[in-house]
Amino acid sequence: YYEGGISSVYMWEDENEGFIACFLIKKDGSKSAHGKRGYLQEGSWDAIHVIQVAPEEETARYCLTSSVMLSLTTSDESSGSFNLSGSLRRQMSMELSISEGHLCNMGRMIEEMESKLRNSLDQVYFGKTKEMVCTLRPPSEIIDMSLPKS
Amino acid sequence: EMSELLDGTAEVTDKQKIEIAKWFLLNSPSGEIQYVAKDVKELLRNEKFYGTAAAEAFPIYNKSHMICLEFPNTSGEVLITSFNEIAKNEYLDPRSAQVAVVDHVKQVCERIRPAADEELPSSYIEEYRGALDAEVMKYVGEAYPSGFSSVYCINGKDVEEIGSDFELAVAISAVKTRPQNFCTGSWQSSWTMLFKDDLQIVEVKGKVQVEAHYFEEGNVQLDAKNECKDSTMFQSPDDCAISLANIIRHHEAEYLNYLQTSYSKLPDTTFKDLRRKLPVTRTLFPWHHTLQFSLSRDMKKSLGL
Repeated sequence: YYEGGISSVYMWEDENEGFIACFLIKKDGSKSAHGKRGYLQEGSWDAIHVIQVAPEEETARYCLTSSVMLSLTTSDESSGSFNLSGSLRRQMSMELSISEGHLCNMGRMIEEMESKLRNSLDQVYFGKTKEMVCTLRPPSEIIDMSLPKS
Repeated sequence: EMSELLDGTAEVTDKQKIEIAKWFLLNSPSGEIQYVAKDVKELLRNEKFYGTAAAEAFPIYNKSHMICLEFPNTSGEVLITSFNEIAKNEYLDPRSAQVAVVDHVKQVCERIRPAADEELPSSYIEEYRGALDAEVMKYVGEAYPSGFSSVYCINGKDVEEIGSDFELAVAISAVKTRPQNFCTGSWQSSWTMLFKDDLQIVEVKGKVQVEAHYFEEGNVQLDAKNECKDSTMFQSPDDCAISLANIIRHHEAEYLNYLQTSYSKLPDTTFKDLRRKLPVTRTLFPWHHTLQFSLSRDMKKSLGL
């Protein structure tokens, strides 16, 4: 997903015979770091996934809280700078069979959640800011230029 | 010092508290400073500190955002900019030849008074300023559903006749606040026009700043800026006005185009450099095959253990 980027996982037991896992991801997408396509002057993505696992008989209950923080800046000589920054946080709970193991369950939840956040940012959040710009100054196909009288 | 602040071991001095409060106020998204001010007041719990921070931050914020304030008798409006500042809380509206006295922290025009002769440009300059003001007003009326504009003479306002340089400034400001839809935004353009007598040209420099904020169960802000240059011939006031308004119209329309293109590039190019929609394999990650991946096995291999 990241074509570069760094991650770490930390885990610890909690008091109810379960455990908590924390999956951290950091990506520097600027063209001087791991930005493959070279458009970003500055680009950072930080994801924090904390998942609480409570095992039962043949199933386990997973409670995931994910936060994403990002900032991207494109800039070029003629067009100035364009920066979008923000953060989102969501929660998801599921009860799943442990026949395939915890790793499968946690991994799929995190992947689904992260993709949902990414799409939400792209389609809803970025989209709403674009909508606001077009509300402030609606695009017009016809440029009505007056001609000098002389 | 910063690391001590971050891990909570340092005492925050009064001066630092005021600076932090000022920072929050200055960085408020467009149209949201009063909401931010309310929260900052609660955080500070000190009227005097808040007063100091607000007295310093609000004027800077108001001018950089070119806020528009209505006259008390609702007969017109005034833009608050560095171009038309006569005194710390007095702003000239050349169109109505009046000066607005404002309260920066309340963001309100308290009263208006007629402008004194020495505060207004000469009738020669006023021909150029007035003609440009009319053309820009027309353009802003067409292009911005909720925009305001004004034109000021920022240099050479006492020039009486042909033979000297002078400089005009155009300010365009549009703000939309929809807190019930969790969305705010603003567009500010400022254009300076230097009328050069010897070369008989007008040198134009433009600055556009666009902001937008969407914050429903999340928080994303756009911050975009651009600068540009152009020029046109030094002609009669009416011909200059038309030419200059066309330059503004052209560059701003182009800039809007650029913004729209930047947005359309996000999903598959710019945003992709942060995180792809799908992995490079174009399929979801095979979590059930993770036994194939093992950091400790890889490390053992490369260490020859």
